[in-house]
Amino acid sequence: MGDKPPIRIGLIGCGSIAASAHLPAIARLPQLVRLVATADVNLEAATQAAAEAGAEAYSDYRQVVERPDIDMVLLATPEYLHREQVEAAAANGKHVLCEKPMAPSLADADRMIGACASAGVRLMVAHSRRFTRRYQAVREAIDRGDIGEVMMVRENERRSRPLPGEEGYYWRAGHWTSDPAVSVGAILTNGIHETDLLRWFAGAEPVAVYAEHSTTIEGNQVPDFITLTVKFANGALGSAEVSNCWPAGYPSYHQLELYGTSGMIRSRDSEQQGLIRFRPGAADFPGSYHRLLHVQDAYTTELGLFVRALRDDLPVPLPASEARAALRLGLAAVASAKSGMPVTLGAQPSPQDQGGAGQ
Amino acid sequence: MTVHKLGIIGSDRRAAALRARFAPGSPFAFGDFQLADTAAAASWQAVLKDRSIDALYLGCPPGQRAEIALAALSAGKAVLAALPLAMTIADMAAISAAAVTGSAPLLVTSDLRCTLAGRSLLEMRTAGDLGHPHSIYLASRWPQANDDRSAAAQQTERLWEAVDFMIALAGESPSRLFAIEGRPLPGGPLVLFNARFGSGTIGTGEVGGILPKPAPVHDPETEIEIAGTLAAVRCEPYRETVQVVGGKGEPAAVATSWHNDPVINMLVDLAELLAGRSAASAIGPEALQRLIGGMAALESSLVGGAAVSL
Repeated sequence: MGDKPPIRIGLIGCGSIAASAHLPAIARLPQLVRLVATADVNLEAATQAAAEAGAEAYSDYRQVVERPDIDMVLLATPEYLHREQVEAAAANGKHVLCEKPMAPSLADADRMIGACASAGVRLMVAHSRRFTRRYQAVREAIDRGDIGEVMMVRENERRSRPLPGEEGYYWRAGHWTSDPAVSVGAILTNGIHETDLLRWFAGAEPVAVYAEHSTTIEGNQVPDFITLTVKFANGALGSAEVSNCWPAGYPSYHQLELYGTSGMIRSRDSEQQGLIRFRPGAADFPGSYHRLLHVQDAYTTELGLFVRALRDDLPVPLPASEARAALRLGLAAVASAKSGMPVTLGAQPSPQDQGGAGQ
Repeated sequence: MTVHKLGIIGSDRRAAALRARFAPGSPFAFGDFQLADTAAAASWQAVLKDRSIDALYLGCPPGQRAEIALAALSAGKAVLAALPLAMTIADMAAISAAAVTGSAPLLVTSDLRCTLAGRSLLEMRTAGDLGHPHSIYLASRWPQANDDRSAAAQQTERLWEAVDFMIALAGESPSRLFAIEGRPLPGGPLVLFNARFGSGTIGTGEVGGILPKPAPVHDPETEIEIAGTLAAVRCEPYRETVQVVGGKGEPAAVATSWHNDPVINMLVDLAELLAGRSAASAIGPEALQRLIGGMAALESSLVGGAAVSL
C-alpha cells in the first residue's frame, strides 16, 4: 500500500466544518491524501483553504469535479446542496465523502446512492461520531456482550447560547440553518448524529418514533429543540434530545446512556465542565466548549479509512445505507413532531437500502 | 411544642423508614411526632378508633388508601400519603374534597417533592427565577428487582411522582402526552414519555427499574434538567446521601443525611399543616387534578399507542 500514490482530493465547501475538521484531517494524512483543489461560493474562503496545500481555488464546485486529476471530492456543504453535487461528482467518476446529514429528503438520498452505484464510485456520509474512540469502544462493548441485550439507548446533546460577544454557532440570523426554505432544524443539523447513534447502539431498525419540537431562539424560523422517543424492532427503546437553548455559560455537553439486561454504559462530556467559577450568588462555566465531540482523531480516522477503502478496493467503513437510515428516522421524527402523532416505520429500510448501493 | 402522635397503616418501604427514624437511638428522631404502636392493632379501623392518634401515614397499597383516607379524615385525623393517593380519579377527587371540607389536614406528596433540591426547584419555578421553561428532562431509575410485587409498587409510585413533578415544574397541565413501554422488567417495563404543555414547554420523562444490580449509582437515581429563558438547572435530588460500596461483598448501602431525608421532610410538612401553616411539598387540589388528568392521558397513551390530547 505504501507505494501507491496519494488519493487526490477536491474539497467542496470551505466553511467552518472544513476549516475545523476536514482540512486538519487532510494535513495529518500526507501519505494517503493530497489536497488538489477547493471550491466555495466565497472564493476568499476557498483560497484560504487551498493556501497551505498549494491547491487551486474555485468559486464553482463544477470546476473541481470536472478536473481529471482528482480522485475524490469531500463535500463540506449544506445538505440541500448534496444531491446536485454528488450527482455531478459521480458523473465525473469521483468518489464522494459527504458531510452529514446526507440530504434533506429520502428522495435526494436515493438519487445520490443511485448515481454513485451507476457510476461505480464510492459514497460515504461523514457520521464522524461513529469514528470517535469513545463510541467505537461502546460498540465493541455491546458486541462483546458486556451489558447483555440493549434495552434502552439515550442520546442527549445540549448546547448553550453564545456568551456575550460571541457569534452563535448555529441558528443565528441570516445563517442557512435558520432558514425554513433549506433547513428543517435541529433534527438534521445536529440531531442526525443522535438518530444515527440510536440505531447503531440499539442494533435494530426503528419501528415507531414520536417527537415534540419547538423554536426556542428568538428570530429563528425552524425548530432548534427536539425530543424523540423511538421503538426498535428488537424491543429496545431510544430517547434523544437535542437542544440549543441553554443559557450562555451553561456547560454544553453530550450524553450517552445505554441500559442492557446485565449492565449499563454511560458517557458524558464531564470535561466540558473542567472549569467552574463560583461567585457570590452564581456559578458559571467559563471554559464551556460549544463544539461537542468535535474530535480531530475521529475526522482523521474517518478520512483515512475511506481513502484506504478506495486504494485497496475494500468496502467503505460506513455504507451510505446507514446514513440514509439515520435520515429516515430523523425525517420521521419531524413528521411526528408536526402531526403530534407517532409515526410508524417498517422494520426494514426500503429494498434500495440493501446491498450497499454505491459501495 | 405540641407533640403529635403518628400512626402507621400498612407496611410499604416508607412505613419501614418511618419506623426506623423513630427507633431508639436513631439520629433522625424528629421531635414533633411520637410514633404510636400500631403494629399490634387488629385492623386499620382499630387504629382509627385510637383517640390518642392525631395523624396517619398510609403505607398500604394504593388500592386501599381511598377508603382509609376518607374514614380517617372523617374521624378528624390528619392523613399523610405519598403518591399515588388512590387508583381512581373519583377516589382522588373524593379524598381531596373531604380534606377541603373537613377539619383535619391532608398531605399528599412524594419523595421527590420532599428532597431539598426538589423543594428548591419548585420554589424557583414559582418565584419565576427560571423564566419560561423551554424543556424539562426528568429521569427516575433504580436497580432491576427480583421481587415483582415490591418492584411494581415502586414503579407505580415513581411514575406518579415523575409526572407530578414535571407538571409542577411546567406550572400547567400537559396539552398532549405520549408514552411508550420497553421490554418487560420485574415490576413493570421502562416507561418513556413526552409531554407538551400549552405555553410551549416540552417535557421528556424516563421511569423504570432499569439499572443493573448492584447499581453503581444512588438508588433511586433521579436526574432533572430544565432549560428556562432566564436560567437553567441540573440536579440529582437524591445525591445528597452517604453511599457505601463494598465491605463484605454486599451491595451499595445508602444512608441519607437528615436534612435531605424525604421521610423526615414529609413529617416537617405534616407538622406545618397541623400547626395551620402551609406545607411546601403538598400537592394541592388543583395540582392533584392536573396530575390525575396527566396520568389518565399517560395510561391511555400506553394502552392505545397514540399521543393523547388533553
